[in-house]
Amino acid sequence: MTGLQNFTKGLWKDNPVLRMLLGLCPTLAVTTSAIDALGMGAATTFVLLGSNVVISTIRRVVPAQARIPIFIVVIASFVTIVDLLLQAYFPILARSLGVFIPLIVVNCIILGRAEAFASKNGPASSLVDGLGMGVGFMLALLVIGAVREVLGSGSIFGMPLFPDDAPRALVFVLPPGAFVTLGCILWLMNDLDLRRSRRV
Amino acid sequence: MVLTVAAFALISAGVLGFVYARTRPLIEQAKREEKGRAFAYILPEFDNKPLDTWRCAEPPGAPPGDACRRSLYTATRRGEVVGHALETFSTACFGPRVDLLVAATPDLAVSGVYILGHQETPGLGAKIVDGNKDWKNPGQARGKPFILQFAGKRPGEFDFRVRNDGGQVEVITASTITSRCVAEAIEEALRIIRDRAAMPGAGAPGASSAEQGGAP
Repeated sequence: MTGLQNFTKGLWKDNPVLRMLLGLCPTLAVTTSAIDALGMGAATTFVLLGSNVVISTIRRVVPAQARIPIFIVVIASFVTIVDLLLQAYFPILARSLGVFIPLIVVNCIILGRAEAFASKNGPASSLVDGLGMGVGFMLALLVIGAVREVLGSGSIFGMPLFPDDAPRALVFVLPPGAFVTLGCILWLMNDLDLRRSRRV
Repeated sequence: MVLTVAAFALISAGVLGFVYARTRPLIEQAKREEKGRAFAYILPEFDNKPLDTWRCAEPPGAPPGDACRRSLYTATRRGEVVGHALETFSTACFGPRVDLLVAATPDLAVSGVYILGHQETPGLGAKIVDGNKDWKNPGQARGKPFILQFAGKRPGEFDFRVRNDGGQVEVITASTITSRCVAEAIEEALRIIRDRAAMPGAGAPGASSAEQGGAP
């Protein structure tokens, strides 16, 4: 696998949200607006990069039986760091993401990549893997967040698109809207892949 | 094996302690600055520094403790008291805790409410922060922010219960618990301001801070 493939697999083929259906808790919960989705994606990418690099660096000194607790310590440390940094430098974003920042620690994408990739590969390719997965996660959240914000709040990145009295589909801001949006995007992706494989 | 785990835990603790120590003053500073900015949004026009008028304002019957959990700030203009702001909190919301500033004129009409911190659900209960800065020109607010409905409301004239409970407060859709706890916190804050602001030293910053002990 080349470096480029290592990166792009996270974007489409092995997209953590849209292909592996991992990390659905933040995917469904913080995609009510595009900006929250982007902030969540960026924070998760930072944690994923950090934990992938550190775990692949220490993979030879970690005893196999104790690897999960050690991985969790590494991941939790990065999550706490990102939480403190956000509060110090981006207090507004930190406020709007609230409890979902600390909850990154239980995002299965991160432990999943640590187990499946970083603990078996070198730091450089783990970095690329983490970047691809992180960006794939961020893009998936951004698409869902943008759709939900446009349909549910009538705005994009907080900028109003329609007049104030235009009707909006409130259901898209509520939890069911997250499932409906995710389902439709999965349908579109599968359909695209199916067409492509038929052509070949 | 145990040693390895312990070693990693120690390293991690060291790194976190370092980051915490470095970000702590920044986070405190950001909070203080935000409070200072918030006064301009929610209090009637003033020419003093409300942050310097800190007084402890625990309601009677509050559990004893070292820390002061509620603070009262007073805004003056040419020496006249124009309003009070109470820094308070509620633990009855959907998340563990909401911190807020409730400001009122001396005759106890709400002049503004500013949410300082919360962990409500993004997109739902988190809407309590919408309109926090729009008290002076509510026309600019987008949509109809929940919080702005309290503008000018007085205890006794306005029923601070939510519609669902027979009151007059319009709730945030799908966030009744958050709406209820914020409305209750505002009403409680007005009560505390009423009881506290009338006490000696209300208009003289610092004059009565010895009464409760503690320092800002």
